[in-house]
Amino acid sequence: MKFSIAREQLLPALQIIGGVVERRQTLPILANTLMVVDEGQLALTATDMEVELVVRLALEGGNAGETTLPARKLLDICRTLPEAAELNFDFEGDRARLKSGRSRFTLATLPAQEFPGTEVTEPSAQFSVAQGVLRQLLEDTQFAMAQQDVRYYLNGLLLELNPDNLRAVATDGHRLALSEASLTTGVETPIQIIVPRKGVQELLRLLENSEDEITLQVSTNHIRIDTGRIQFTSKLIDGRFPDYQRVIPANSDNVLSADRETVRQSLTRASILSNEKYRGIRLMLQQGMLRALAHNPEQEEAEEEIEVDYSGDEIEIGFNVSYLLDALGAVRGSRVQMVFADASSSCLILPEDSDQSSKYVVMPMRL
Amino acid sequence: MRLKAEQLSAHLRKGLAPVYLVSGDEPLQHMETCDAIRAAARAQGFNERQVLEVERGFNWDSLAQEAAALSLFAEQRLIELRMGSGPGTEGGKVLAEYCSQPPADTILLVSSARIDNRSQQSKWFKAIDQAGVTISVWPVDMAQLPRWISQRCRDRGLNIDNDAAELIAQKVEGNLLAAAQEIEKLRLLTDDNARVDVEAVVAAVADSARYDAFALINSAYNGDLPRALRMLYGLRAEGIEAIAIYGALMWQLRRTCTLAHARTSGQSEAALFKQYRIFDKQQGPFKQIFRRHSATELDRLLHAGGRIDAQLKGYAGGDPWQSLGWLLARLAGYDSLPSMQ
Repeated sequence: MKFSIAREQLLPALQIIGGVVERRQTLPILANTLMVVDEGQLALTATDMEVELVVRLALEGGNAGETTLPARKLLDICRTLPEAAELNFDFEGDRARLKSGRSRFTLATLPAQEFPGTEVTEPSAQFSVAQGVLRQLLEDTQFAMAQQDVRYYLNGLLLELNPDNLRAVATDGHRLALSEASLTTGVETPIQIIVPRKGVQELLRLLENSEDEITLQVSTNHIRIDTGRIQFTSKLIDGRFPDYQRVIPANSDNVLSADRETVRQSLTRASILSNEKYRGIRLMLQQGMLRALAHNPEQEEAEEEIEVDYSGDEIEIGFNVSYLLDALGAVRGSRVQMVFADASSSCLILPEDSDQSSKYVVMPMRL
Repeated sequence: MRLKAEQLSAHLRKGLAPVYLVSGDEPLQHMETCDAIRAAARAQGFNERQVLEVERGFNWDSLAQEAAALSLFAEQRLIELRMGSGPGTEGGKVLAEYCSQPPADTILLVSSARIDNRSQQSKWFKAIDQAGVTISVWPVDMAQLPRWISQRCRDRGLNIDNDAAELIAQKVEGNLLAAAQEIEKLRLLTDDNARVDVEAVVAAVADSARYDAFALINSAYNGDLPRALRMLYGLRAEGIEAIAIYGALMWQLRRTCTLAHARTSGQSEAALFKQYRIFDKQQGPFKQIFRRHSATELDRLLHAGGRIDAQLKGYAGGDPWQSLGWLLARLAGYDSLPSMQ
């Protein structure tokens, strides 16, 4: 096998797949990238056995073949070569010769047959969606995923395919984030899948905020997303996501509405003096006024008064301020609504503009 | 409140305490005790379980945070805190603080390895003891093991005679996990209401003895050579390196020589045991070896042991396992290695 390719073409591709090349490989070959040359195309594949990425590049000339090369080293070489360099690959036996200008490298290869493939079954759902829409769904919710929780099904993000919308939900058991987008998914009955944390992070790395359509496929054990140039495949978490509908509080009269940025900045300031251990903050709701109080073991105190629209009951309630700030940072729109029931029930945070469909639920804490 | 493992089920029937500490190195009882608490908690509607593993760099604040944060999905929770040994200074503070005001809707289950007497005087331990229940599980020693086996069989509706229990005890040699497994196996293999006798055990029980080097040395000191040799070959079969056993044996033998000389020069045995921290359980074997060998004889055996070292390192001929057997035989009061069947 033999081919030539421009540095500017190869480098971004190597950077994309670099994210899934395992640092602590259980199998030596997982440190490598699979390179397949066929019909004017070079396909680079990397996998950590959970997430697989394939990047396709157009190639002029070159004869067909396949092999694997150390991904990290190739990336480092490619990155440090001068701009507009041309890379010439020539494979023979278990060695690869790489020439570029007056630089020469010999790299060790491993046979392509040993590279673990991803067996994907017949998709049970398939539809197209704009990249930006999917990206937005993930951005809206991913921060609420659990990390290394024994409830393994929380260490990922729920994607729910409904006939007329796609919904993303994440929760760590104390707070929950939900976002949905109207689109036709082609399913007749809803399908729920849980994408593992690593897969979500990789997806966010490669999805752009654009109108370009991508194909999303769901099969029994995998989700596959194809942008045309990049194919992303991730295993799914095999588990049942908790019934999230149950924990979204019902309507209440205690609705506060305010400018999102004002509330966020006030709470950020108050949080500086909250107990580092608990990150607790006390909210006091009064007519037209939200007061936020924080104090720490050194007896330092912060008090913020925020003008808001509120005419409900007077409520005093404690929260983990990080959870509130995460939600306020993610909720769409410039004005936000916070819905309370009482001092021991969850708070619902949502955009005032009802066209926007993201919701956040935060449980209070004992102070 | 301190409870023995066997008192737990009666306690759990009466209601749950807000904090539990299960400590000890014996895995079976440790596991079963924790399981019983989990099951009781689940039955009472503590539907959510969170696990915090105390590892290097564990952030103790996460316990306080977890306890203060309410859950979206369950009103009552069980938080498990798994620590290898003690909680350290920082963790001790957090635990004591937690126990001063344990939340009503949360049960905290702390599990750890054995906690020594000194740590049991610490603030955090006392705080747990005051707010909740502490349970230490202990290994069952050889003398008690047959009774333990009979009891466990009875609890599981299995009728076992004393000899059969004795045989299982001998086979598993203190490994309760193995004993429990053998009992499960017997239960599957025996008809209801049939009596389990020695033959049934022989047919069903595999040789799953787990020995450790110090038990082996004690057996030799006690003069029980067959048991010492069975343990030696058991360890070899488990793939333990001869050098590990040799190391333990020589360490103990050197200590024995020191004690023997001190004893010869007129110091009282009781004072020596105290000085060298030889606990009740260990004293028997020492007393036996002093009765059998003089200090000079022990010196000679220690010196002879040096040859095994050379064998292990490959500059003396002979099989180190054989030599270890020979040394054990001499310690046990035999002149030569009796032939194994």
